[in-house]
Amino acid sequence: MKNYIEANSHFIIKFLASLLVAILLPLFIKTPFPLHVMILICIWAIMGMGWNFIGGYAGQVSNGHALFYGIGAYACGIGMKNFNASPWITMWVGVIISIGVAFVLGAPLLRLKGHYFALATMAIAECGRIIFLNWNYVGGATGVDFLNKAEPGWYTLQFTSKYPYYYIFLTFVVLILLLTKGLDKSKFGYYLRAIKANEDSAQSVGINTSRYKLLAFMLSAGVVSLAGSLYANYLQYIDPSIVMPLNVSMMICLVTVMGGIGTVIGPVIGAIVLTVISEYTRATFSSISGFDLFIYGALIIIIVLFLPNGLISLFRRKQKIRILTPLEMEERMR
Amino acid sequence: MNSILEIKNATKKFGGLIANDNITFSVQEGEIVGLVGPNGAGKTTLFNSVSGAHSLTSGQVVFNGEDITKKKPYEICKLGVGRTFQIPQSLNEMSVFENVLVAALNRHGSISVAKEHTQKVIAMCGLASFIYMHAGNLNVMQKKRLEIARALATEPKLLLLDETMAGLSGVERKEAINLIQRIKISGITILMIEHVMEVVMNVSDRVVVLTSGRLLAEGTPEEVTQNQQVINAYLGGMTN
Amino acid sequence: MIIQCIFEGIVIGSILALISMGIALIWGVMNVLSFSQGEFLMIGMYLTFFFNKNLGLDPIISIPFTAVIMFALGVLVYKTLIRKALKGPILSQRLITFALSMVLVNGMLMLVTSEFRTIPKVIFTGTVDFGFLVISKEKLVPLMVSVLVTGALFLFMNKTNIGKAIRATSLNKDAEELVGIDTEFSYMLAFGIASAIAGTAGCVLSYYYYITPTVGTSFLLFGLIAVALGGFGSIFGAYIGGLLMGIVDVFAGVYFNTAFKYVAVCALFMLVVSFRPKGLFGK
Repeated sequence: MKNYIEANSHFIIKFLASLLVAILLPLFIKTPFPLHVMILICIWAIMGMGWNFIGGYAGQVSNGHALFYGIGAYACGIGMKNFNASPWITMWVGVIISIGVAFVLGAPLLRLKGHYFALATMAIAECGRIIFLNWNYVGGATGVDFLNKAEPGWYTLQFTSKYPYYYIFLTFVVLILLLTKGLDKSKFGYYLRAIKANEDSAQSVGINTSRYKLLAFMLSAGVVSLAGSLYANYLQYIDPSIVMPLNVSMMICLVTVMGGIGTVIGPVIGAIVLTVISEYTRATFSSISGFDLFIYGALIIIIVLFLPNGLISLFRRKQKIRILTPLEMEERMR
Repeated sequence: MNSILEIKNATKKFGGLIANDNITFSVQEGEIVGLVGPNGAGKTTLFNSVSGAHSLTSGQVVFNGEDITKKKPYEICKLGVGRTFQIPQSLNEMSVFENVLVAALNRHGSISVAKEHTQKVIAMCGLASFIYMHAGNLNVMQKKRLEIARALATEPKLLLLDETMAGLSGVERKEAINLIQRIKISGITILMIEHVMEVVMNVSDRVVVLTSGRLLAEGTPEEVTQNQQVINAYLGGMTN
Repeated sequence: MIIQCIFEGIVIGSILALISMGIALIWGVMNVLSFSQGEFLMIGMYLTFFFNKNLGLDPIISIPFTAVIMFALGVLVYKTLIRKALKGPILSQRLITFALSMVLVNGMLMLVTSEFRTIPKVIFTGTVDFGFLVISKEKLVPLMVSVLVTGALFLFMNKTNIGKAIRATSLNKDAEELVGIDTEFSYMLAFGIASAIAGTAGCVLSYYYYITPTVGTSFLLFGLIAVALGGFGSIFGAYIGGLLMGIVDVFAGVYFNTAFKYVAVCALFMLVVSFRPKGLFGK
């Protein structure tokens, strides 16, 4: 334990410092809009971290994670509207359904490589969207409105103030961040990175690549589904064009890529930057239709073009080609 | 002595092309067997069949008494067959240490135990100065070393080495031979494809000669070099 | 009825085929999955619309002008964005084309608003009735143009030196630099040609389809899937994939439910890649 703290002192200090900032910041905010942005940052951070397992660590770039986002959102929406079930339960139902769907789809999908995998996941997610759009039980195109004005509170996870949302979502972000950190240097994490680097090579050193890819896919589906559930409860209204469009699938990748793909905090950085840009351009330029998204798209192009390895590469010194001296070697090998 | 690897009537076809034609031989526990033959003789194809990269069209591969013909590469690795690739397949974006660590995790569930094992293997293969370098930045010799280290880290009983000497200078070659002998002493059986004749003749206990997908001769290095068929088919071609 | 469906399917398919050939070209030559191809189609449609409105040109006559403008736009996009993006990871390249499509759609939205437009008068109107098959002449145009463009592209890629160089680039990048083929030039040309083709598709599509800034998205999705269906880097495969997609689209729309044509198309795609993970004609 002591060794672990020593080895990760950097991370722990940074983590605690940012956590403190994240907890205290809302106390200085008087208007609702910045808090709304911070809540969205939490949602996107969870989604980015979820996608990061399959797309970042395992290198299987899925462009269809909106499917799981939608499943999570609908699990809470339908659960609340039709069964008056607490989101605290239905969000885990959504997670289980998403993991199940990922398990069933994973076997055929994960055999595909590169662009084919991306296109197949995209096609599946579109199918999902169309099915939800035409499924009367889930409200079809009109969606599900499950705002329950009568009893806001912990059971319904509906609050009149934005603060409880923020702190609840922040808790989830922290938990998933710690999960990612734990997996980063674990057997699972190393195996996923090996699969990303070279699948044949990974197989030759005893890694059951299809099994680990499937596990990563299921894990990421579950986490993204959780983000969907939280978002649905924040918005209290969902329809397929909000929670399942292609844009969401692409934005999930973008959050991770912009922050730093395959890193622990990359998705969080990406979520902060992307959400701030997105929400503030929307607020500033929404007078002319299309102008906000025009600026948003242009900024994305500029950032991705000039920092293809993510914003995290700004903070990280370039990996030097370094050969150890005999003295260092002795020290290291002890 | 027990045979650790038995290849029985191995045949592999790619479409109409017969890459391996009815090959039968076995490797005894603790020995070094050299697999030689001109380019296109089907040596690497045979390696791929043994390690499970593809399955045989017909025939059987038995490892340690167990039929591994239809098994997947990772299952075969778990059973105790380590392999290197002719074109090094290192995990380029990961450091040398992580490359070997991933392989060491094959037998050790715990990261800290695997790390200790990794250090031993890295020291044995003389890669200690490079542990922080990305594998993609290594030169050819270092990459071939890393290939061996990765295969060794999986703690195999049988090691398949595919042309680990090609492109090495004289000194580097001596170091590599030295490494192979140390591996043998540690009790690992070796089946190696090698073009460099000097190495094969010095290191191998036995030599198997393939040509155009068929087994041409089998025996000690002396026997094989005196075999007229071998001289005609292979060695003759080299001296010309 | 079945014959009618097949015909309608081939008409839609021939448009999809044009988009997907462009995507296949870019995919094959520089290994980028281009999400902006649908937007090039949309811009092509608007160019056609304004040529028609301001100069009174029929869409067919405006094809060469639109194609040239779109080629120039493609080259411009390549020079400013794609060339730099190619140095980064594959996913960044894909996301840049995605963001570009966002910029194009919303830029167009600012310029021309989201109003639905159609081209009022075209040369070929009316129908031909064969009894078992009713062909409207507006739909015959895309079909003919698609066949001609495909033929021209095929000849260009196989018979001319530049075309052969582009194909060679797609086979092996490093080797090409050794033998002195300018990959940079090939990439630029391929990107330009791909957007010119998409622009041409826009011209003929505007013959009978409404025009709005978001029109490209649904065509893009189908086009992308058509390429994957046809197989990696195979332009011919992309064409067949497009046609197949169009036919399935129409059949699903007529015999089941219009909404489920996506599902049918995706089901077809999943079926094909389960048996051939690299598409019908992929190697």
